[in-house]
Amino acid sequence: MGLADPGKTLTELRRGTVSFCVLALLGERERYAVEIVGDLASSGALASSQGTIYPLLRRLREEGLVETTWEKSSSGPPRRYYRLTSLGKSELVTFREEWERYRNAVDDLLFKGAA
Amino acid sequence: MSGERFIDEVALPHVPDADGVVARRFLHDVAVQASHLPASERRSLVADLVDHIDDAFASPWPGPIPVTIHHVLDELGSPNEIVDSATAWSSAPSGSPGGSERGPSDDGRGDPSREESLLASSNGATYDAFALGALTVGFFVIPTIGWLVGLVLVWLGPRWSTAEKVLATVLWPVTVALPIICATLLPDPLANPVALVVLAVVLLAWWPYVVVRLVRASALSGRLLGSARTTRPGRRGPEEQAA
Repeated sequence: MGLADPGKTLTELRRGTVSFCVLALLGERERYAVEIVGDLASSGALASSQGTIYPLLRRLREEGLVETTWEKSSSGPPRRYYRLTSLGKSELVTFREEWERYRNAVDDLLFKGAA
Repeated sequence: MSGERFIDEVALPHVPDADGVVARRFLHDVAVQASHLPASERRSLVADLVDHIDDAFASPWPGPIPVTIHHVLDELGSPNEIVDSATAWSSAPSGSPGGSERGPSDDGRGDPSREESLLASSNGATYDAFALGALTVGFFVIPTIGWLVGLVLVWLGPRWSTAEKVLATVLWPVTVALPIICATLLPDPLANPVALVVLAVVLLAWWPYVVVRLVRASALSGRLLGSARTTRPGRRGPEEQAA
């Protein structure tokens, strides 16, 4: 199927929004990497496998959207905890507003003749 | 160091030996396939995967069957898939093999012609140091032009985000504008020691903030896994962890 392939379109959408899903998870509370990866996978927001999130986390650190600290774990090796920076919070707020507008516009178009 | 040699030094203290062999083979494949990425990104990727695998064996497993390396690796995905993602999210001015799409925070650094010119003109840390030097003191070496050269180099530099480039751009204008604004607002600023102190503090905080942020962003790209690991707070050796 070409342009109108729903599966491919949804995969692209997931890929395009996954960084903000990570920021949103961290907006709730700080999390360590394995937790972020697991929560994303169980939410259905992840387009592909869990390992593909690590390069994104590194990029978010580099961009100053998240910051990390290493903390001891009672059950295993020390864990790198991620939390939002003020820049990350502000980007998340902006994206939420934009996303709401975009989602409403698409919903209006998609469901106008569906009923 | 080549993509595969440092895999032998990777510590997986919670992974049984037999599973460790499988895990190292997987990490080796990731490192080899990621050889087109900068060493710092390749090592960061492998380090994150090592932590993920080790954590999976160290943490209580929720399922009824004990965790196996094959299950953990299945969830992580294939080396090819992971490296495609690393290429897509790379901040380095390299190509994207396999047509991987770039992430939403990309600021146009994926353009091949621009990447070629960047690769030709940029030599990692030396390039960054020269750019920052020209930006901060270039004005005194060649008035105006030295600063403009620094600005151009910073904007062409592949290691800084757009926000950092904007900060670099306003570094000197803010420094010059603040005293002028003070002089305009206060009739006789030299007679007002409080205003002078406030101005000095603002300028003293402004410069370190911008310079440290730019240096940190540059250093992040060049930091090696080895040095990163030794500075991790709370990181314990295998013997201590087993105790």
